[in-house]
Amino acid sequence: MIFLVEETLKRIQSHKGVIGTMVVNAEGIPIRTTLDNSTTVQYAGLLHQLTMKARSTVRDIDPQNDLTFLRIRSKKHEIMVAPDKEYLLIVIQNPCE
Amino acid sequence: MAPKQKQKKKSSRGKKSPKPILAASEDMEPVNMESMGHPEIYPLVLTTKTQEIFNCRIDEDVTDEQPYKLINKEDIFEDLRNRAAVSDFHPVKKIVQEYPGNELLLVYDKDFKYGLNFYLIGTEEGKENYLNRQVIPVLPSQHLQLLILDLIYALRLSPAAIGDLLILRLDLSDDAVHVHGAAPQTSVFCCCRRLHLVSSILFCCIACTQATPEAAAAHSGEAQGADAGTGPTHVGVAAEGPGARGASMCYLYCLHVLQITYMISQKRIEFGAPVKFSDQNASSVKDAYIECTAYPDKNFTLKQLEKDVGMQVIPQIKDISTQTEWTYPKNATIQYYPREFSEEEKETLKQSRPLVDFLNNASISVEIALQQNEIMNTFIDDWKYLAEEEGTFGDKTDTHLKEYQSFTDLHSPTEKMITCISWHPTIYGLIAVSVAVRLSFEDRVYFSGKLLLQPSLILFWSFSDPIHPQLMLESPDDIFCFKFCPSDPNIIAGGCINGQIVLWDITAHADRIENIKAGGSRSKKATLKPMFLLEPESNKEAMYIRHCAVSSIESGHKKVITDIHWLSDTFEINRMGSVFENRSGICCQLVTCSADCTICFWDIRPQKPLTPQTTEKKKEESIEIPFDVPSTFLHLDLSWKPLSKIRLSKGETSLDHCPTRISLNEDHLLYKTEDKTLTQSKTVKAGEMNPYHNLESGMANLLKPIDDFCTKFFVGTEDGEVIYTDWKMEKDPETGRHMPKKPVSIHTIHDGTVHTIQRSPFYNDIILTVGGWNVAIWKEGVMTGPLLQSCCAPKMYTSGHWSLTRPGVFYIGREDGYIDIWDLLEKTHEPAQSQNICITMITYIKPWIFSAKQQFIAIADYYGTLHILEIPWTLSRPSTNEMTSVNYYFEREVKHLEYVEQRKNIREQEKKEMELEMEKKKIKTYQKSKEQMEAELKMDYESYLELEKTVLINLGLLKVTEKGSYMDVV
Repeated sequence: MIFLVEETLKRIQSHKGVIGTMVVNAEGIPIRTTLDNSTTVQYAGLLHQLTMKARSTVRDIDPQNDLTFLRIRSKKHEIMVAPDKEYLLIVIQNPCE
Repeated sequence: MAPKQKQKKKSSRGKKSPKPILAASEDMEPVNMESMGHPEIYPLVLTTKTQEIFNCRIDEDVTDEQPYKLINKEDIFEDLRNRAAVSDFHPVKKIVQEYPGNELLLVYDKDFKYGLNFYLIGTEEGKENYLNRQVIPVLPSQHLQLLILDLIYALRLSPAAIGDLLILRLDLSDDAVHVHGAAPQTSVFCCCRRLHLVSSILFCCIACTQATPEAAAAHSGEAQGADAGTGPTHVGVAAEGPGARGASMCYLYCLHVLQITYMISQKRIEFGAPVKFSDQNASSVKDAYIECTAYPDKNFTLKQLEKDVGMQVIPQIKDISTQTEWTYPKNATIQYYPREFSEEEKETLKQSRPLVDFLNNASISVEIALQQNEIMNTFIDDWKYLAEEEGTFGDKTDTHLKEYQSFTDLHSPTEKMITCISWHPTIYGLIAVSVAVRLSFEDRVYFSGKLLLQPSLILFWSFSDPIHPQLMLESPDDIFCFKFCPSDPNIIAGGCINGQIVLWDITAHADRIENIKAGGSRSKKATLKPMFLLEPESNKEAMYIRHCAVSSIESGHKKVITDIHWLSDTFEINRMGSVFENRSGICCQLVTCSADCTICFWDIRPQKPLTPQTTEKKKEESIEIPFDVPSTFLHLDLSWKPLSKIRLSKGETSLDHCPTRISLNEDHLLYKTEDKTLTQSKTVKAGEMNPYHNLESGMANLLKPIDDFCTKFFVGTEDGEVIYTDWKMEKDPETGRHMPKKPVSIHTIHDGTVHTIQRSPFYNDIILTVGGWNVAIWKEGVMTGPLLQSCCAPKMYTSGHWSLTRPGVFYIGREDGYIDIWDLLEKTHEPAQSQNICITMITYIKPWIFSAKQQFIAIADYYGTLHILEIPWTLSRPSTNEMTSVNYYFEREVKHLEYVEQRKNIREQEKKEMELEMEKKKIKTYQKSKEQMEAELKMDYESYLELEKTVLINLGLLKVTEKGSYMDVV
């Protein structure tokens, strides 16, 4: 089963311009990453908070609604967050590359 | 003291007719008029008989004018006794009996107001009221008073006795009553009528005083006494008032004079004599003065009706203070570390089912998003790029350099050329120019004596003053190249024609040039005027600045120094050319190249192994040094020796390459670190210690080597070669001496002296070289050849410079005064445009960024004029992707070069192969035997037959079945 995980991550990583991929648990603790440790910790902590905030925003507006995907476009990158009940998948891509 | 008048009824003498008074029934209660508000009035009916008895006959004794009569109490008693019950007074007998006074007032009630013809006033008070009602206010007239006064005088009455005297004068001469000054008074009439017979003039004197009864009696007695003398009839009735007013005495004096003759006489001597006045004590004599005491008169008291009141509101201000406790800030630190899973936990998590499920779900959406981004950049700003396009292709007319200003040194007596230009790195609008006499070598030698007399200069021009140079740096000989020190712009190093290096320190004049800048550039004209009107002399005097150090003549260069550079402040080198970390943190090493085929490295710091001998020498020199020279580089003057010397030998021969220009890895072409240098110079100022004044301190530190440093550099030579070499020495294994390394590459591209070798301000590995009639661009590391090599131009190129803001643009100056502007993005085979600047050779080009929107280029010519031109927008502003596209162009060229190189190899290989084959063939043909030849021919024939057969079959001329037979036939 571990191969499945690695395989999926490898597939994502192989996309054009992908800088990093990480899997984070519901508490913001990184599980699997392709970046270095300090960057991962920073991204995981901050994006976890942001995603929780975004999710609560969506749910506050409509309790039956839920956040499914979060894309953050910045000058340099695009950060994609795919949230779930227990995990977050964070992908950083440089779209202009 | 109102006078009180009291009239008394005088019963005439002899008229008394006593009448029997009938005893009235005692028990009968008299009827009063209480019902009408007058309890004191008792109506009576008086018969005619009674009227006669009491002399009160209607229309005779009592009339309308005098409707009352005072009747004596005794008379009434007498009448009551005489007539008893018949008496008309019988009903009021009780009243009369109880009456306190002697006389009762009987009033004739003509209108029967109270029902009967008379009424009786039953009380003394009522009588008073009635009589007082009848009192007529007497208004004493002026003459009456006089008359009375006369009378008083005549009667010798004391003035006090008649203080309140009221006199009526009645003229009764003709039976008519004339009352002077008073209204007719009935009661007076009565008595006057009685007196009528005996007197024609009646004086009534009524005196009323506040005297006591005794005094009043004395008065009356006196009056009677006085009267007796004249013998008049005197009737005096003194009536005492009720008890309450016992103090008031009423007198009535009636002077009945038949004939009164007044004779008022005076003594003869007194007559007409002057009146004598004498002093008298007012208080001692009674009534000597009349006091008029002030009293408030109600008529004249003013009632306040209006009041002016002002009011002002003031803000309520409260001062409140509280004291709060100040809590001390405390430093507290928290250290935390991110929560992480251990490897085992991670492994278990990775194998967990939910994670796999999650990834399978999430990866789809992530991949969709990733693919979207790959396909197209959704957030591209089309408008921005549209505007860029317009900008680049917009104004075609604005591509030319515009003349902004030009400077010429008018003071110099000989004709000079400009050899080098340098913009001041920090002060805007200040440019330094080195000038040299325009002479060939022979002429120079010939005129050397003359030339010594005039100074060789570096001129500082400011935009604010086009006539006078701001500063003039003196040097021993003409300067051919100079550079500002990157660490401190006040330090300038220059190379002379005689091979000496000169150092200047203009720190003392820094304020001066700063101020010019402050006043200048903005308001050019305003500062221009005072500059040369007011203080041209002082200006000139201050401008000459002597150099503070020159290098040793013996151990330096032998010929003209063609190029000079400051080494970066990040490293320093030693004698061996090894690179170390810079100990001082400032630029303190120089590299020069000279026409004597050497490249020298210099250190401005004092050398370590200084012998005592040299220090002595130094001391001697210090005495000679003039006063106005800063002592910054005193230790160097005339004893400065190069740190190391490199010769570029040509290898086979003993000749060396003659370098004209060098370009090190770190080049201060662009002052990109302007801020840094500024702050540096500021910190220097703040520290009050210029690091250049204390250079020895830097030497104390230990050298730290930098290993991965590129010590290679480019050299351009007089012969047009571009050499890429290393300054690091290597030990010669044979001799043991340190020898310079062999050059990495030597290319002879230019067909004349290389005068420009410059790194691009955008790409550190791209080098522009200009020399002779062509231009070349090189890439460091690609040493097979130039990336770009222009074809030969019709005119010689004399200078060149990269654009500071556009990576693909560079400027080339020509000998005919034209500027060629190359734009690699537009054309690579010829200049994009050329523009005429002057009529003579352009000797130097130096662009400069004034601001983001304004750029200047300084172009110097052979005739000594410095032209400042403004670079147009199109040439100064890079297009959006210029950097990358120019880079792409270079990369392409590199690839092309590689391909050319490879092709060379391929071709060579091919050639070799072909040769081999040829060789082989030759050998083969040689060795082939006849049988072999025949066999080969047979084989060929067979193959021919085979071909023929197939063709025939295809054409249908031969059938397949016939094959065998055919074969058989053969």
